[in-house]
Amino acid sequence: MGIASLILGICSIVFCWFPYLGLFLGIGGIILGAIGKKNGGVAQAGMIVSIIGTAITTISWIACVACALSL
Amino acid sequence: MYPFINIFAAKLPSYGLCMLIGMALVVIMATRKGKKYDVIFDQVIVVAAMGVLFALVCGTLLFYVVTYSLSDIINMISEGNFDFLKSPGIVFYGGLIGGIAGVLLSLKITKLNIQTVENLFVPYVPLGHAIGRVGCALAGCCHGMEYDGPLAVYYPNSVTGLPPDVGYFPVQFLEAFLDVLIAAWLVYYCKKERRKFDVLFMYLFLYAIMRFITELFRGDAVRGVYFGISTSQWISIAIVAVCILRIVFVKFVKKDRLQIDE
Repeated sequence: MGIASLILGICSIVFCWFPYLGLFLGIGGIILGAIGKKNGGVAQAGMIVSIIGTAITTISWIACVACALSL
Repeated sequence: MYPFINIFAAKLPSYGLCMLIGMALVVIMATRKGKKYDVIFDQVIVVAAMGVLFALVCGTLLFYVVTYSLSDIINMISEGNFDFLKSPGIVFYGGLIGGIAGVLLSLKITKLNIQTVENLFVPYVPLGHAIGRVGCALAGCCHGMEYDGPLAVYYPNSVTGLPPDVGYFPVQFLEAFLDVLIAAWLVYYCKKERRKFDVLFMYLFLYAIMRFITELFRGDAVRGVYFGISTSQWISIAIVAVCILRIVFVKFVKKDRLQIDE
């Protein structure tokens, strides 16, 4: 679960310019990391990387969804 | 107004930055309050993450269902045409139902009870929403109707391409202010005697009324209007009706006992 979290977290940073994909990957990584955290440091690292990925993806949004569609 | 903000060498979109601050604020406040209930950060982040994830998934799925028919989607996929995936949107109703489902599911994982989660999150969600609305104002989206009176706002370089010399009603700031008032009331309400889901329904009831009113001042005609009432106002009416039905059910049918856990 820790390794899966780490992979999702890294992918969320890589795909941060795709708002939905980056968010799905990052949030998935946060959930897996938090659940598997008691089993070791890899899960904790995965959770931190996923939080960073989610934050970068969120910052890249320039307007709310409804308005972004009308751009 | 200010769609981008320069922080050191980086030029960041102000909407995304406000969204991030709003989400972080909700998690930080829930974590701080959670200490009182022996709830740790990991539990808070799982509840928040599952709520957002399910809201995104259900909101997006419902968007596709209302925008395309099932046969259209099957035809497009069979022809190898995935263009419809490039312009996803979110339906508020789907997001709301999905978010609540996600939070309820997270209770199984985190072993928390619903009343604790309500106390931790619901009063701070409107605060996060208020900061998001300030982000809308900075970006120039979700703007108000054309208006030249006091406090009118101008968008010289909005991301939605609004004319720079036209004044608009500051509806995003009005909504942010009302969201803060709702948050203040909910913080107070959490300390009173109440039943399960009371805080959640109180938030939905107040938000629906607030949204119905602020919708009258909105000027971004992207959404549909049916019988002179916008989609968001119809949703608000439905939410208020559900809240009233719930009050009747709890008071006269189920007769739940009140309890306080402060």
